Amino acid sequence: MASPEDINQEDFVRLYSRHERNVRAFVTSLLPRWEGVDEVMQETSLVMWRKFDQFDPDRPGSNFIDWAFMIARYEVLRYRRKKATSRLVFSEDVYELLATEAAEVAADQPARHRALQDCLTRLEPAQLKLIQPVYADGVSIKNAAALVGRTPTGLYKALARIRRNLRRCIELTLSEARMKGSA
Amino acid sequence: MNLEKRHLELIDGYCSGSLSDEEFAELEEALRKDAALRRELLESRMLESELREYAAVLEKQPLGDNEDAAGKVHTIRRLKIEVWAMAAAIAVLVGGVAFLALRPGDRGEVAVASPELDPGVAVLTRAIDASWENRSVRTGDSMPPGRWKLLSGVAEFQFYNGASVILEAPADLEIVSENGGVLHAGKLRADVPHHAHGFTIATETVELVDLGTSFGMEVGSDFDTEVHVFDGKVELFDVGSEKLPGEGRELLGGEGLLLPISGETSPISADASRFLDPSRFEKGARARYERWKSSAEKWKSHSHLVARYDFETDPGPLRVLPNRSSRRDDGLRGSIIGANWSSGRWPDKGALDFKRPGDRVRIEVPRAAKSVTLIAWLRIDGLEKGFQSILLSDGWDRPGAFHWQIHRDGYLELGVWHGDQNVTPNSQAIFEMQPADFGRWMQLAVVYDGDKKSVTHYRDGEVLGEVPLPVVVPIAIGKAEIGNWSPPPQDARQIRQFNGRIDEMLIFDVALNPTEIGAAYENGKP
Repeated sequence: MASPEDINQEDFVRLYSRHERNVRAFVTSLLPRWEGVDEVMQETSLVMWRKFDQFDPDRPGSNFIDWAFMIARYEVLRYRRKKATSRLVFSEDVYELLATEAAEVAADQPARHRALQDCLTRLEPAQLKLIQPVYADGVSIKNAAALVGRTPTGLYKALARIRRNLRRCIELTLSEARMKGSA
Repeated sequence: MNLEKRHLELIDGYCSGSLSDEEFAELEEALRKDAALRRELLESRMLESELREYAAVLEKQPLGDNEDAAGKVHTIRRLKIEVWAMAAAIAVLVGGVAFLALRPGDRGEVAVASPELDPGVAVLTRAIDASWENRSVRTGDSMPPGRWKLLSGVAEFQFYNGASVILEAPADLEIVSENGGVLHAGKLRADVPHHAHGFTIATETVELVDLGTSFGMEVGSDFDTEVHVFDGKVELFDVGSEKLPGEGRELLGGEGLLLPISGETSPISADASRFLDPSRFEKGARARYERWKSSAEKWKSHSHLVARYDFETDPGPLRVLPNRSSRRDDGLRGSIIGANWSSGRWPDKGALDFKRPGDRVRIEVPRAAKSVTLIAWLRIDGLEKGFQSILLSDGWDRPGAFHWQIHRDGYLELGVWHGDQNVTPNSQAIFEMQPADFGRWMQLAVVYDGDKKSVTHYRDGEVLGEVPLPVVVPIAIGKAEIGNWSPPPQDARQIRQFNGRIDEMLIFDVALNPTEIGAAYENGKP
């Protein structure tokens, strides 16, 4: 027979795996670099696990994702104070604004994720080929540029174009979905 | 969405880590005002997250394979790390250790700066004639992230991770976190213990990650960076690249590198003599100690100096506190009860440490005076008791009795017994102790001016407050205690002992003016 702790564990793993992508998107949006994202995610998941008994889904207005964002937000702040090495760190007032709004944006991350998968297939093959070397773990833009045979500046520009295309495509897909949904 | 092209460029720059400081400040200011721009930034960053995941998937599976299956592989790989961490937490729980205590700020809202929180990520440990642009900071103060421009002097500070840094003026260091910062200009030396491995200093041309060592770095006016490794090992990375351990350029003890803003880097040999080392501060402390000694000698000729206690350990009996004024009254020689000898403002200087209820120095000051001035150099270690004595006459029942003390509610008080029930005997001035003030040497002074009919309190040579006196009586300190109080025999013994150290006390039978008090502070400041 499953003990109450086991049930608790199962609940947690189920909820966590369902929302992990949202939390990761939330954390990534608040940090200037990749550095730290994994560490913050790990700390966040640990804190969530430790405090899962304090999470009460039956309380009105409380849901797992808001609770997770609250913890992640604190962990990002802690990371910024303790470990950050980038000088591109926003002041705390701007950080607070961003963190509040990031929670809204990250909440519909699953829809964005699906839209992106679709939009990636519509990129030109030459553009698609640039993504892998640039976004692979631990590659500097200089090395990536050498790899694809471009200058770093040229690569920056190409990437900016790709991002803009993708952003536009995602927005279109999402608003189409919303219109269909409301019809 | 009508966003300016300029702002979109800044967001691109932010995402690729290529913004200059000025551009970053511009972006931040724009974000503060513009909600649409903030949304743009957040969505861009989230897209980055997605693209990175996508790239990781492609790395595992060649293009064209089922993406969702590949996505799962990546998610599982990532989850493995997190689940492993979770397993460790479960092991702790099963081991019988209860849920870890709540950290402040966990309950409900995110912690933001408030008076109870320490915004610092480093602490200023020592300084010689240091002055900063737009900042006033004293040794012992914590240093929050931000730009620290040292205009003159030398400063040593320790990051909370343990790394110790000496900065020489003129220099401009941006403290980013407990883990390091950005050197924009000037010279620094860092000593990094085991616990601080990974400590990072970035410049315009390089990011240095320390692997346990001491090193020097200098950024010249043309933004060239020189790296000198004195001992141990550092790893150098391109600015903005991901700093993966083992993939940077390694420099070992004795090696150095010149990294120009453009052009080829070239090896140089490390030259420790070009950087200040910690012994500079010891030399500086000795010099200031000598300066104090020679200025203190001058008090001897002051005709109104009643007593001078320099708290220097004496070859004579250890339980005697000698009086160094020219007055010869036996009562002025102090008897030390309890209090232990300790070090004062400088490592070589003596002090008495008052810690337990019995600790005190007994003196007797003969003759009454119309006006008096007391100057004390002391270090408060705690303010847990209602009153803590600096110098108090015995009892509280005779005209002219003198009670100079500190109250934990944040005021200094001089009480003089004058016998008039309708008028307060106390003159108070607000005295604030910040958390970093504990354990820090300060000068306190009080002037009872019988002619001007006022009491003036001073801290570090500055007037804290001047209080008019409705009733004036001659001051008769008489039998008294430094650092404690003996109440009238019929009363219970309240604990009023001073918690901290005292390393100098001067008693004058005249009212000194603010200039004289200020000069005494300048000559004695540590």
